Amino acid sequence: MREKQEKLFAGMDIGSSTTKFTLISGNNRVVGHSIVNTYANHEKAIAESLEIIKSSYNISLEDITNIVGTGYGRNNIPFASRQMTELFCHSKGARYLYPGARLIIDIGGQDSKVIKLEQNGNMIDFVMNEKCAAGTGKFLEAMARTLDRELTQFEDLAGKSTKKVSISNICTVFAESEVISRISQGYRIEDIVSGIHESIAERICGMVRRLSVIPDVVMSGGVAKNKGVVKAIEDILGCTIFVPGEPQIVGSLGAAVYARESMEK
Amino acid sequence: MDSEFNEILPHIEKPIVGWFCVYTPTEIFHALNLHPYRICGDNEKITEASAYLPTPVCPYARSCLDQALKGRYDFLDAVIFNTSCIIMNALHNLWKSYIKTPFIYLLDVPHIRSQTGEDFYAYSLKTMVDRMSHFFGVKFNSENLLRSISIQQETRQLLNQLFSFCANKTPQISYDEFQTIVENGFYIPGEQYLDKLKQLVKEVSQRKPIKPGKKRILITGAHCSNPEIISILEEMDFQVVYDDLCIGKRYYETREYITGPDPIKAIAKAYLAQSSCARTEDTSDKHNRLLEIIENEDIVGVVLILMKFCCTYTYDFAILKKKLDSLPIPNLVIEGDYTTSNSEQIRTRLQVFSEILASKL
Repeated sequence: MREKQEKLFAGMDIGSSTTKFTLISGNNRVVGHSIVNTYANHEKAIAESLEIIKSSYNISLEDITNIVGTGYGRNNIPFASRQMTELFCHSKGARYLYPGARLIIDIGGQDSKVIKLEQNGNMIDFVMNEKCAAGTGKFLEAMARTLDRELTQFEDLAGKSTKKVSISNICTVFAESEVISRISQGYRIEDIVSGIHESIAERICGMVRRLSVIPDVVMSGGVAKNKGVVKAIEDILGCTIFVPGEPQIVGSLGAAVYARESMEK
Repeated sequence: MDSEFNEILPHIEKPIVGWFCVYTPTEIFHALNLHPYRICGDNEKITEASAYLPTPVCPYARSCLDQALKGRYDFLDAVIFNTSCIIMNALHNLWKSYIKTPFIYLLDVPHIRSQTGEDFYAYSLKTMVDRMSHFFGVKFNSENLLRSISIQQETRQLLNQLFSFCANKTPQISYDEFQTIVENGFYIPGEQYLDKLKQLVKEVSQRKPIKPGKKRILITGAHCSNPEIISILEEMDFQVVYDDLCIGKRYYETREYITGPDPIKAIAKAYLAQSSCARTEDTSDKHNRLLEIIENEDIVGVVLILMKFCCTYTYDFAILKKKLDSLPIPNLVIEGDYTTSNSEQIRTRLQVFSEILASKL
């Protein structure tokens, strides 16, 4: 529980799939968070986030000293004092959790990015995917739909794979047809899922190689919850990847950290 | 198409010549009593061109063809293409087959800047002049050409002067406004445009300074691959201090004409000596010049503007980027498809770049 009268800072990250809200205290401790679906209505996602914060932690907007907005909906948050990019906030959040972080891989619903940090934590370079859904959460969602499985089952399914099926298409639409072909050829779902993980990992590692691998490597975003993808990336890069307990909130956490830091300046 | 041009169009009595690339000496058209019009396509959705040029090729060329197929360039009496790249060659072939412009000519521009290159280019230009004179029934006259060269040079000098009001440390005009003025020159008649520039230079020089962008940058590329790039740059607090673009410095830089008995040769020499396009055989002198400018103008970052699927610039940017990274000079490649479809992605990328530069200031 937080001490009464303690200052609170928050970050709101409106992503394409989910909206994340994280609260930290003046002494830099995480107080709580919420994750809700964004859908096509930012106002609704914002209201739902605030309701959860109120019901779970009894905290309202008036209790928060400063709020920073991030994510692709960052300009639609009326109470945010500043809007920072999700790359900046993911860097802040990752460094908060892992002070030695130098490379961050974030795979979100609609885009994936790799961020390189200087030793002092400042961003030096970054790579983002283009308008294409390959290598994003949406790619995995489409594959789950094609295979008639829940996304949450993917990790276990890949764990049971005995022979990886190669998925050579990186385009979501073509990969979908390829997966359908593999099903009709009689391949096991487990092996196909493992191939899908490898395909997404290869796409991401292509982006990582444009920046070079510097440990510590941290992974954030919803896709980091799938250990099958994380393992596939680790195998290709040949290094350990640190995944926070709740990888989805790294951006909003970073925004909250910045909300606190900017009040100190 | 620019609405201002629609107003001018009924008053243009001369035949109108469409052109694309900065290696097209428009002073020749002026001397032949023809009206030059730069073809830039449009940001409108491409609906007709996909049947002829597939999606994964230059969106600029696709847009130009699309507009032509929709009849938007029906007012043109001539179109001069350049052998700029393979897609521009394809555009020439398609135009010849499907668009009924009365006069079409493919101006062969050399990739190599040497005496042989100059001779080849001069020959190509002379053939163009002969064919145009014959087709439009006008007589080519060296004195007219010298007069046209002098108008063109004065225009360029004024544009450079205007750009200095935008790039210096106490700017009086935004780059966005400057760019619009440059683009006006793509269709306003030469003498009229010159008068407009003279007035503008006088007017802008008396304006109160505007707030300069905190981060002084150099931009490089061909065309702006997203029409909102410039306004996003200014919104993110960047100040464009040098614009190495086909619609920027490479268009309005003053040329050095060494006029002798053959002014066409002088033009060939002057145009090949200008700061090179990525299509030239060796762009190292251009890269070195950009690095010098970066140092002399206190430039803190470089934005490389890439047109999607443009191989020519993709490869040249890889070389330039390597040089910038080694110094290191922060740089960012942004890519667009000549529409506003990825403006938010570009906004995010430029905001990250701004955040990276802010940590260094």
